[in-house]
Amino acid sequence: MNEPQSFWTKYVWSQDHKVIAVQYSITAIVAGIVALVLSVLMRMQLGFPDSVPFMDSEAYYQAMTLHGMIMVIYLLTALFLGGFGNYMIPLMVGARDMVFPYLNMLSYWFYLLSVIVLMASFFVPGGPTGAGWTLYPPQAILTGTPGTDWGIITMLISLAIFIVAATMGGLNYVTTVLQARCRGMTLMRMPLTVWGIFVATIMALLAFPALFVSAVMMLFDKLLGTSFFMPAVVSMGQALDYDGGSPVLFQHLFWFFGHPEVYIVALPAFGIVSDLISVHARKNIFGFRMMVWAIVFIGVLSFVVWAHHMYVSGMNPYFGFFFAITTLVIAVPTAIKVYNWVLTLWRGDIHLTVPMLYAIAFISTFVIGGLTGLFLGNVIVDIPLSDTYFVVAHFHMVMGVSPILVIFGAIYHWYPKITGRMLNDTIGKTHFWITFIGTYAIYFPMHYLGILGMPRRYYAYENYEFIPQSAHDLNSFISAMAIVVAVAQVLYIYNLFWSYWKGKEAGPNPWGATSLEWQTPQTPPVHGNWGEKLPEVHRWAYDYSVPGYDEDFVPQTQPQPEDRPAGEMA
Amino acid sequence: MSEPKAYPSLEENPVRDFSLPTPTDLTLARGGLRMLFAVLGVMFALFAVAYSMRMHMGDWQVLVDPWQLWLNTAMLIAGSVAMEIARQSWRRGRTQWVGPALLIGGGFAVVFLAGQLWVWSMLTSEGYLVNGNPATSFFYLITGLHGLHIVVGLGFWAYGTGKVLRGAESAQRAGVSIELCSSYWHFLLVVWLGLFALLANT
Repeated sequence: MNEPQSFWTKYVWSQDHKVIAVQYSITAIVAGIVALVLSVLMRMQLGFPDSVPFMDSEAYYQAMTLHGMIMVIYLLTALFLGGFGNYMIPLMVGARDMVFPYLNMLSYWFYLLSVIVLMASFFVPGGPTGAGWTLYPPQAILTGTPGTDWGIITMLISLAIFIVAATMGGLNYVTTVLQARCRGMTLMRMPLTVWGIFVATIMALLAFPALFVSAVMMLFDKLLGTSFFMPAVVSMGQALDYDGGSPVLFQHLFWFFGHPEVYIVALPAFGIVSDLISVHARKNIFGFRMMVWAIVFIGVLSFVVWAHHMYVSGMNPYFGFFFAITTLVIAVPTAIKVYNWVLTLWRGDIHLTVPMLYAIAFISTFVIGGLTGLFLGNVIVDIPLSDTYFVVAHFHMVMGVSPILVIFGAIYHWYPKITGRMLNDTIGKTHFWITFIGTYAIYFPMHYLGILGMPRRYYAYENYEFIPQSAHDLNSFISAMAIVVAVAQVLYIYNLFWSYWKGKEAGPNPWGATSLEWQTPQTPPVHGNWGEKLPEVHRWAYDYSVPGYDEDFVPQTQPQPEDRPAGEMA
Repeated sequence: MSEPKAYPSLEENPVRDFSLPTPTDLTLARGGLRMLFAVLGVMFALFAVAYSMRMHMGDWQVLVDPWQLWLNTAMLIAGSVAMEIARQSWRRGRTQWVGPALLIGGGFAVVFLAGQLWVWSMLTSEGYLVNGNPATSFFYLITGLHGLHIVVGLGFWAYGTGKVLRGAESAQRAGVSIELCSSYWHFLLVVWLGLFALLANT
C-alpha cells in the first residue's frame, strides 16, 4: 500500500477511508447547519409572525423544502453511511481500507458536488424549489410554486449526483463487509454498528434507484415537455401541453425510495446505539442474534410499507389495508430492539458518560416517535391526522431527533479514536441536557397542535377560527425553544474544535471497549490501520464483565482460554 | 474460582472459524460489479414498472417499433459473443485472440449505438417526438438510458483494451478489465432483451 506523501494526497485527494470519512462528516455537518438555520427562520415566522423581513410565503416554502431535503439526505444519510460507514467498517471488520479506495474517493467528491449544486440553488434566479421535500408533481414544476424555473432543476440534478455518490460508496461498504473481513471475523461476530450500516447500505443501493428514476422522469417532464407525471393542467388560466400523466405514479416511486430511506437512517442509528449501550453499561448486548435478525427483517419489511405515506391519495381500501398491516408488523422487530436495549441496561454497570446519556435519550425519543407511528400506520387514524402537526411531531421525534442524538453520542464515543483526545465532559453534558429537554419541549406540544387539527406546511396561522389563541401561544413557546436548542448546538461544535487542541489525551481505548477499532496499534489509526499484521478475531464484540477475567472487557483479538497453553489466565 | 468461561460467548456454540481466503483484485471487483448489476437491475426494473403503470392511463398509443431494433439486438448479441470469446481466450492463455475479440466486441457496441441513433432519427423524422405520446417518451427515455450505460461501458472498455494492446506489463490488471467488461456486456444485453420485450409488446 502506498503511503500518501504530500498534504494534498493525504488530506484532500485522499483514498484513506478515515480521511474520506472525516471529509464526508464535515461536509454533512456544514450542510446540516444550513438546514438548522433554515428551521430557525421557519420557527421565527411561525412563532413570531413577520419577525423576519424576507420570510414571505415563498421563502417559507423554500426553507421548508431545503430543510427537509438536507436533513434527510445530505446530512443524515451522508453522515451515517459516508461518515460512520467509511470510518467504522474497515476498522471494525479488521481491514486495511475499503476494497475500492479510488472509488471511495470519487464517492466523496461526487457527494461534495451534489452539495455544491444544491447550495447553488440558493443563488439561481427564483431561488431554490419550494415544492416540499417530497417534490410532488404537478405543483413541483408549475408556476406558483417557488423555484420552478431553476430551483427544481438544480434540486433534481443534485439528487441524481448524490445517488451516484451513494452508489459508489455503497458498493464499497458492502463488498468490504462481505469480502475483506479479517481472520475469525464471522458475520455473526461483527459489531451491531457494522450490521446496521451494512443492511442500511444494501437498502440504499436498492432504494435510491427509485428516487433516481423519479428524478429523471420529472426532469423530462420539466425540460422536454413529456407527460410522465403531469396530467392535463390549466395553469394561470392557460391549458398547458401536458396530458394524461399520473402524479400518483410519482408518489409510488418516491415513497418506494422514501420509506426505506427512513430505515436507511434508522438502522445505522440502531446499530450504533446498541454498541454505545453495551460498552457503557459494561454488559453484552441482550439477544445479539435477535438484534441482527431484527435489523435484517426491518430492512426487508421497509420495502413493502411505502404506500402508508399515501393513505389520502385515494387508494383502494384493500391496498390501504395491506399497507397498514405491513406497517404495524414492522413494529414487532422494532419493539424487540427496544426491549433488548432496555434489557441490556437492566442490572448493567451503567456509566452515565455523555455517549450513554445520548443513547438512553435516544431510546426515549425513539419510543415516543415509534408509538405515534403506530397511530399513523392505521388508515382510519391517519386520515384525520394526515397533514397536521401530529405528523410533524411524529417524524421529527422518530427520524429527526432520535438519529441526531445517536450521532451526537457516536461522535462523542469515537472522537477519542479519531483524534486521540477526549471531548470536554462539562460542555458535553450541558449540550446534552439542553438538546434533550429542548427537543422534547419543541416536539411534544406539536402532538396537541396536530390533534387540534392545525395543518402543517402553512406559513401563517392568523385568522383561522378553529385555531385558538392558546395554539398561537404554544407556537411561540415552541419557537423560543427551537431557538434555544439551535443556539446550543454551538456548544457541540465548539467542543469539537476546543478538544481537538486542548482535550485530555485519550489513550488507545478510553472506554474499555472490545471491538477492533479500539485495538489499533496507533491512535489515531495510521494509513493501513493495523501495522505489519492484520488482527485475528477470537470472539464476538460483546465480552463485557466476563467472570474470571481481571478486566471487565475482553477484546475481540484475545484468544479463548482453551486456545492458550494451560495455566495461563487472562 | 470456577473455570474462566467466556459467559455468553459465541465460542460456546462454536461458529465455524473459517479464515477468508485473501481476496484477489478479481474477486473483489467481481463482487462489486455484481452489486452494481443489482442496483442497475432495480433501476431498469423500476422504469419498466413506471412504464406499465403509465400505460394504463388512457392516452397511451402503442408505438410500432421499427424493424431496425431487431438488427440492433443482433449487434448487441454479437458484441456479447465477441466479449465472451475474449474472456475465454484470456482464461485459456490464447492471448493472440484477446485483443481482436475485444476490439470486435467494442465495435459491435458502437454499431449498436449508431443503430439506436438511426432509430431515433427515423422516429423523429416521422414526427414521433419525445414530448409526444407517453409511449414515445418512454421509448426515448429507456433506450437513451440503456445507451448511456453502453457509452460508460465503452469508456472502461477503451481503458482495458488499451492495456491489453500495449502488452503484458500489467497482465493481471488487464485480466480484471477483460472479465469485468465481458460481464458488463452480458448484463446490458440481458437488460436490453428485457426492455426490448417490453417495448415491442406494448
